[in-house]
Amino acid sequence: MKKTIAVIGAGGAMGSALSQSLAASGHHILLMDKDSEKCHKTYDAIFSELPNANIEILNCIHEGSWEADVIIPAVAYEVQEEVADYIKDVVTGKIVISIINPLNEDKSKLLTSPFSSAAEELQKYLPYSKVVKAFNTIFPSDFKNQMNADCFLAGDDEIAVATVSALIKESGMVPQLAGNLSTSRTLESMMLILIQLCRRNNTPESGCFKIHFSKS
Amino acid sequence: MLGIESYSHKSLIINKKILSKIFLGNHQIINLENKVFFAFLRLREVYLPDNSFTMFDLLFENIERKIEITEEDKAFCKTLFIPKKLRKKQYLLQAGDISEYVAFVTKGLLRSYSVDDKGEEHIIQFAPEDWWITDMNSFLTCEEAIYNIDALEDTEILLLDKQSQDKLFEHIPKFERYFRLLIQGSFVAMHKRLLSTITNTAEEKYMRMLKTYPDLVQRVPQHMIASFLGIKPETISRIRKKQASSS
Repeated sequence: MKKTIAVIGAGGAMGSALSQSLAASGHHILLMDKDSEKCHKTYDAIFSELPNANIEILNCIHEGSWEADVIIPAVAYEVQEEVADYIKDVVTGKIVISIINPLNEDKSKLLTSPFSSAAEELQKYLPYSKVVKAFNTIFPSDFKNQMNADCFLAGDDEIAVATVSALIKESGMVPQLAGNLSTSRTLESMMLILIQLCRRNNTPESGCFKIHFSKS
Repeated sequence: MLGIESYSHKSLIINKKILSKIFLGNHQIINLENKVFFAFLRLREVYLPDNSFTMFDLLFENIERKIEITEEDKAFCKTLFIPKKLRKKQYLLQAGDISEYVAFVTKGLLRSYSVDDKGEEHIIQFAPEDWWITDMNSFLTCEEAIYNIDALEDTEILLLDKQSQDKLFEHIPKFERYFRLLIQGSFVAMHKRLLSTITNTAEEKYMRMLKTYPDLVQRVPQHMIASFLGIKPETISRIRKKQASSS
């Protein structure tokens, strides 16, 4: 059955790209952003490409998260805790996808301690939800282009991980299960490296990971 | 105003009765009565923005009618039940899928039904506030569900999956008693319904329904009541006309 997915911060680059990709798979997407103008832009952009998309704008993230099966906070790392606190009582037992990379302003380092990650912090704020790390190694601009990109994911709940794997596959990417939620530390660092590589090569932020397993 | 300070659903129901008497006399103008009731619920939400309180309030009252639970038990329940909202016409379960949850309705109305080869719907159960619903066979055996469950109104539910239910039984064994009593009640009701279906006339079935669930008869379209009773909608119209002319 199709899922209801709440995207908090749907007006941002990542929120918008992810919303469109998930809407293309036929899911019911609830778009939310404190900047209503940006949220409407996402809405219009999705509709112009997918006239049959099952999307709508909601004003309240508490209401949206209550209605949703899957919740995606696509917000800055700095406000993650605030958002989690606001939706805490309506996301028990639900899948929450952590796409956030805890980068500093000039994207030169991670803000989390080496012994934690944005995903693990989110799990601490939402102890009764099933947090899964995913999509954090994909640039927003690549959602449409990198049809065969590897999309890493990490999580502790088997069923939640399987559900997110299915969402990744529907988006045209290859799910690569990296490990349990603490593996998010590595995944979040990987995006930092990718950004640094783009800078060193003077290219805009794009490109993805692709593992080539040797056939033996 | 009456009731705003009252935190429990039970007192709200009492207030609903008092209010409807004040405003409406003793007439059964259920729609208006419900409007007053829901206006109260909304007022309460404004005064008590902690929605989790409202959500679990009704569930705990339901549980406490059968077993005693402590504050600690309640806190544990809150870590297991999944709060979910459904829009009118939205599915909770579609035939052919596995029924993963038992659902407790805290607001709104669900129904379970099967669809026959001719595309006709046969309603098995209605679940308004304070009721449980699932495709029990599918939930217990993980076989494909034969029933659909959808929302007849915008609905709020609390879901419990098999894993969480097992966890609940393990941590608080008296919940086994609670669910046994629920299934017992449902078993008795089912047999009464079965007996009524094979022995009663259409009129008797309808009158029995009217007597047992008067609110539901007002709340649900007539053709759905007919589907639930296994009679034709025209038959209900005829019975109603007959009732009206004889009273």
